[in-house]
Amino acid sequence: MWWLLVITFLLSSLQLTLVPFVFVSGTMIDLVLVFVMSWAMLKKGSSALWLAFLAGLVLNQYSALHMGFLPLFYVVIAYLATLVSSDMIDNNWLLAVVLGFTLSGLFELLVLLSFWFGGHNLFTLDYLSQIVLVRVLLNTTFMLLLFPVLRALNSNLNQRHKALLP
Amino acid sequence: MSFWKSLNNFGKAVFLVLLCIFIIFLTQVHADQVLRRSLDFVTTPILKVTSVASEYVLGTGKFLGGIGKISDENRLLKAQVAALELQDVTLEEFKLENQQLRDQLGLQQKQNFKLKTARVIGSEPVGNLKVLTINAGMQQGIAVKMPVVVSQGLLVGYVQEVYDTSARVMLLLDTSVEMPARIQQSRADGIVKGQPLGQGLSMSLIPQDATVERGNTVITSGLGSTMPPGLLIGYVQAVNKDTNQIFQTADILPAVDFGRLETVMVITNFNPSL
Repeated sequence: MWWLLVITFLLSSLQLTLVPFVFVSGTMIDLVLVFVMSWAMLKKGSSALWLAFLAGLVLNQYSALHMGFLPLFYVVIAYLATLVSSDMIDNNWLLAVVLGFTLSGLFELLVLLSFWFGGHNLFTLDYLSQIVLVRVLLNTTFMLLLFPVLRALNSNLNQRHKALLP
Repeated sequence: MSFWKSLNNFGKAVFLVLLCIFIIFLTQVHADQVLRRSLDFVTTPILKVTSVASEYVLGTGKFLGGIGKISDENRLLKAQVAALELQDVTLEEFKLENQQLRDQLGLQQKQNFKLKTARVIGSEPVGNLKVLTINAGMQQGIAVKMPVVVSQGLLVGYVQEVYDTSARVMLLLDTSVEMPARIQQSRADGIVKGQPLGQGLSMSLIPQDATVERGNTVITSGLGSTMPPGLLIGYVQAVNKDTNQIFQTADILPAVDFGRLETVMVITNFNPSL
């Protein structure tokens, strides 16, 4: 499971140190969310759930959100993503992108709700249209790029694994 | 391990969700310090390395993107240096004159700040809250509510939470921060607050009869003793005056470029009223 920890720290570090300086005004991609969703759709197993939990825990340490909320949201999104059958995605990978848009939107709403409970009222039309919607669209666009790469990598690794079996 | 393997995907998700709820409960009863300190111990050294690497990557990208502009920028900078040298001489004169007048009036010199320099190692990962993480914490003498500045006097925000080797800084831009402020020219007091979309600051509760003009300087007033007086916040960009209202408001352009903060300083010898 060492690779899971490596991916967790790599993604969290990039999300915390690089992404905020590349994107401006809060409209930044959520690298961890996109990776967790793609990973959960492709791998199905518990690794996506662990990745979601661990990365959420690390990010939560550096967030103003109440401790525990971020891993919770990431785990919920990862579980929902595992519900989609891999055959459906294999036949039409655009479905994965549509699901990415929906799940990303759900995640943003959960974050907004938790900020609201924490006393930060961000439920304004301007905020929803200029920050949340832009962020969901950015996540979906990034998923368009990342998902095919991960899918190709996954099938390649599966084939090698099968070839190694007696 | 066999318990984990015996669970299906739904069971595993439920187990992790329950674990998260337990962490939320721990935070609610303020018993999450062990977890937070452990996370701080493990993740801060990694973030220190990756923030340097990220800065290098961003710097290289910026350099490559700006190669064409370098000669123009060089010419502009040379002109600015010449102007600043002239300004420096004038300021030195003012400084001496100020010192002489202070001596004559018996006034004490303004409090010298004790500053602790820290690097920004992370930003708020989700949402649009304006929070930064710096690589100095309790071990470096940082405490909650200490003011955070750049260039010895440009206000960035204040320390919100402290861990052993890192601290979380709430930026002035956040909507939850309300800072007692003063227009330097007219001495009118008001409250500076972040705008909802993180696109600047606004100053409210300025008395209707106060003279406020575009370009006026906004500084901390020191009222409430939460911040030292005289720290620069920004400049008035627009004034919204409605004669039907008791107070006027102003849009403020922050003096600090919050999007490009790499190094900040924490004022460690100011004791705010908690």
